[in-house]
Amino acid sequence: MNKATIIEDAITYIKNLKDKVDSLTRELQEIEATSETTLVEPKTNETNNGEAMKEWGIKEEVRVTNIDGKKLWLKMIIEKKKGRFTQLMDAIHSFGIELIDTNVTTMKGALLITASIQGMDGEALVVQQTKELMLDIINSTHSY
Amino acid sequence: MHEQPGCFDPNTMAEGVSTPKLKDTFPQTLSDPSSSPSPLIVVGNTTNSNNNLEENIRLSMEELSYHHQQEDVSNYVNGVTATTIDIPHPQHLGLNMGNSYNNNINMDSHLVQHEIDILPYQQPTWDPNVQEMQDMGYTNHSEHQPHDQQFQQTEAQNCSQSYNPSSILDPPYPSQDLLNLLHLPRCSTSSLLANPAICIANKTQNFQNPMGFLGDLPIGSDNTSASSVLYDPLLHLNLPPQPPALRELFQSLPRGYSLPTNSRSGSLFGGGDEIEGDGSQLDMGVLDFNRVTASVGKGREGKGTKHFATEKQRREQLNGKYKILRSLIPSPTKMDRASVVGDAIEYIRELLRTVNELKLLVEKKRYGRERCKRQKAEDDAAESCNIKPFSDPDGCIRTSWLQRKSKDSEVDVRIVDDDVTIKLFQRKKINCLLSVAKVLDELQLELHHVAGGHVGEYCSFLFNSKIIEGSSVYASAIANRVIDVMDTQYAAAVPHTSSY
Repeated sequence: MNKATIIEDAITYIKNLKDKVDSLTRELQEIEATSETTLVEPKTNETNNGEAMKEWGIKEEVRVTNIDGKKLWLKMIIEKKKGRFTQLMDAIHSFGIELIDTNVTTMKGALLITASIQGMDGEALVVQQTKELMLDIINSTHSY
Repeated sequence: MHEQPGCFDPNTMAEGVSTPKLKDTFPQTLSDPSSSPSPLIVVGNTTNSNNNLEENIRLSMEELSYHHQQEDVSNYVNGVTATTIDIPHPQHLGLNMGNSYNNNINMDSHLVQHEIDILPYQQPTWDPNVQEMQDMGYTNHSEHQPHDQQFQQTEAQNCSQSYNPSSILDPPYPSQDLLNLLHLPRCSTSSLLANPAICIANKTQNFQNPMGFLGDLPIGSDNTSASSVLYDPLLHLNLPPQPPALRELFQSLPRGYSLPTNSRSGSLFGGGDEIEGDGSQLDMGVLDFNRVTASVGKGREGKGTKHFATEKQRREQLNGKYKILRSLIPSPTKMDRASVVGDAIEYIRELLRTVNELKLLVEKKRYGRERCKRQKAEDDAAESCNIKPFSDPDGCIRTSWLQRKSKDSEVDVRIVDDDVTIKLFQRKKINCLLSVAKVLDELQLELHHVAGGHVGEYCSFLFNSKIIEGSSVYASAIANRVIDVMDTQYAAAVPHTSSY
């Protein structure tokens, strides 16, 4: 086994494995395409979220505080719903708010979002305004 | 015994053949055709396991200008064999030469063919044939030196050992021509006996022919393939003992050496080549042999001893292969060889993981679906389909891990059962959170935890999500998707950074 043959073998092997991966992927897709099972399950979980939250005494809330100059600190507790987080992010972004440091946690059907935010491109955010904005966003996404 | 011409008569050579190497190798003998004959020993080299032998054979082949004409070669060989040895198998020489030349692919087929042609010819017309062969052989080799008894002995052994008439087809035997080619000195039994060194082991079962007609010629205990003939034109009976280069050469031959068997030749050359050349007289000629053949054998173009062109070719080939390897790897980091190999190693491991993961997924899907169908048939309840389709009877947990890198992003995806952990390292300026959240929704991943923030010019995030049941997403799909999204977003965002 000299260098040339080792490299050659490696090339062949990698190509081989790649082909395997491709064929397995195609197979998987075919199975999925012809699959009869529908994804009903996930939805059923979500209907319990609100109840779980109530059970644990978790309430939806929004808190905004000013920290260190232009930065604001945001804390949100919302009910978890499918695709809600994405909507949230989308909305926040569209309003010109930038999340700098973010932490999201899920527990008992609720979503806890903690973030330090600031206005995009240095725009100053007013605390109260931001809080109301967040509430609006939450309400708009609630019904999804 | 057969008549023994004193030496090869170049004038009688029917075909002029170039023997450049011969000159180089055996200056002494070439210049003196009337000198005592030297044995023609051609080392049969079936495989490339012994370069030296290969080179020897090549050289000998070239010396005999076999490549020039098929018939000449085999004829020559046969002639040499026939003339030098009291063995009515001139074909053997051809066979041997063919065998020894087998490493030269060009020669193989036609040599064999020719040998087959020659083989059926038997003793009765030995004498004239031998003479003819000698003539023919010699015409091939204008400067061929006379062979001596050793060669004859070798050839005799080869002939007798390797020739298996039963395995030969029925072509016409132009032995007469062959014999005329070579004006090989006939060897007497006594002379053969005097040179017991050349023993060619014939390993093939085909070479079962008893050496009966060889009488008390010393023959190697092993079966020697006909192809193993050591040509040593320098070998004279009166040469001083030489370093045991030949011996080492022969001993280095692997036992299981076998010539590329031609279907026509059948088992004739199938045997391993073994030459127990321990005759010291052989060594000297072989030694010179080796020096020239070494370089000749290596260079495909037959370059000189330094063979620059092949060396350069080899380097270029190797570099090309490195490039190919690099192109196969998805995210090469550095461009130097060592990192290419390192990345290749990691990529191969990743591919193996992916293959396992996909296999598992496919199995689970199939298995789950079957369970579904079965249960549907049983109790017609849709819920039963959802009963743990991911659970495997053998209980193996699906795991996979891979990384992807692009110019501005790095993605690390780990999957354990239905937990997906995505680590993202992305140059700032785009909204990572939003993009990744979208991707996760697409791939049916339920976000559970996110942690991250801006770190200097980059943003680093860790996403924890669960695979929604029923989804058969796999690691590389996730990683590729994330990377793609990141890249496109970044490409789209970069020119717009100031527009916000």
